[in-house]
Amino acid sequence: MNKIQNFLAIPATCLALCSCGLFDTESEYVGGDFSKLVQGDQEWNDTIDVVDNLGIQDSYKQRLYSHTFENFDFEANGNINEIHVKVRIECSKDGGNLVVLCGENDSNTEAPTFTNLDGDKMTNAQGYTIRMLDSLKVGNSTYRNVFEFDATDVKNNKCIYDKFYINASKGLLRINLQDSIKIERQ
Amino acid sequence: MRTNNFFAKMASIAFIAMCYTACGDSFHTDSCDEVYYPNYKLADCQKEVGNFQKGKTTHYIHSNGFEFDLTVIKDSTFTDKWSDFCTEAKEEDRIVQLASTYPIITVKVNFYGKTEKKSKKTASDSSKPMTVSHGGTSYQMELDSAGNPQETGIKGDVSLLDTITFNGVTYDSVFVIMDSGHYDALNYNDKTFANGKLSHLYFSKTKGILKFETTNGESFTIKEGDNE
Repeated sequence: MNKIQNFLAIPATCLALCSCGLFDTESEYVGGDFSKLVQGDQEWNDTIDVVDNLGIQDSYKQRLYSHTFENFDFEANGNINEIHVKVRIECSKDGGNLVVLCGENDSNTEAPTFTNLDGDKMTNAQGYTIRMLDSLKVGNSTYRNVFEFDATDVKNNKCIYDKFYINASKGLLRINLQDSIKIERQ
Repeated sequence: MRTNNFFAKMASIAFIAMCYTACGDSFHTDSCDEVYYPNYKLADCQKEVGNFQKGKTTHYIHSNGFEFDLTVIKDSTFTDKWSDFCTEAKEEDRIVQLASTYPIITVKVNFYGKTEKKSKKTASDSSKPMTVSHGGTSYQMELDSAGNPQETGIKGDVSLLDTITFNGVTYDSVFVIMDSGHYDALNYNDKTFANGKLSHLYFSKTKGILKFETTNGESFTIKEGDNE
């Protein structure tokens, strides 16, 4: 009786572990140049100073979690300006999914979403575009591996901003909004 | 025999678990003899205080030096339904939202109906709450029937100034309200316990928000007259 139980227990255990993904042979990843956002393990938060082209100074609290082959989760919130930038990437077997949450208490239902990440530029059905730039100069500094979100071609933009730029390891670099306002990291 | 014991124990555990989860109501001992259906309305002062008409614009200067306009972009009165033990209530609430185009700054003013019209005798004594909030700073006050903020938490959480001058204009009868993060119903919480700096709202029944201080040390103040 015990032998039968042991015999059945081994495949049952294997089945349970496999269904939890422990022995998956097909690995999860982020496709294209967007993979540059999940190449390192990071967990940090800080506050950065920004200034806009009108001379108004502000600060942003930002937080970044990134784990290789798992996720990228970035959030920045203005102190004076009620502007919220959130980008989340979940790795998958099809290249990963990316969502941009524009509001403070956003749900995923109307948020700009991109699936099966690939290449260095993608435009979704609503017209939102994401792009990985090799570099971007902000102030006196040049940042590499820069993520760009572009809503300038969207008819009914759900986001308060037209564009924003974030660096894979430093966070927020620039926000463009209302056609003429540019907020930049100092 | 050992197998039979095992199954008997498992069955007992499953039965008990089922009783606790699926039959949870049977463990309730309280019951309602009579359900109460209050219909709470906003008091008149909650509809008028602060002069928050939709479209009204007020000019402010921020402590960081820039100036901006706050416009009433929303003034909505609606009926909310909620239920509590033996109570199924309807509550008339009002939400006012002020916003600036840029910098993007919003202020929310909330009024909650607590006056039961059915009982006119107690209507004047009922609660007339008002909340003004921006960012992480919130001011809560109780209005009297004339719309004057009253002390609620501790002595000194609301005071009245005969006059105060902001940017060259003198305002009469200005209420100074302490931020709600620094007190509760019984105690003043100094900076050791509360988040951020002690801050105050300067409020006029006719002009609305005169000065809003935030618990992170910033503020914006009304600037009337020469706005250049």
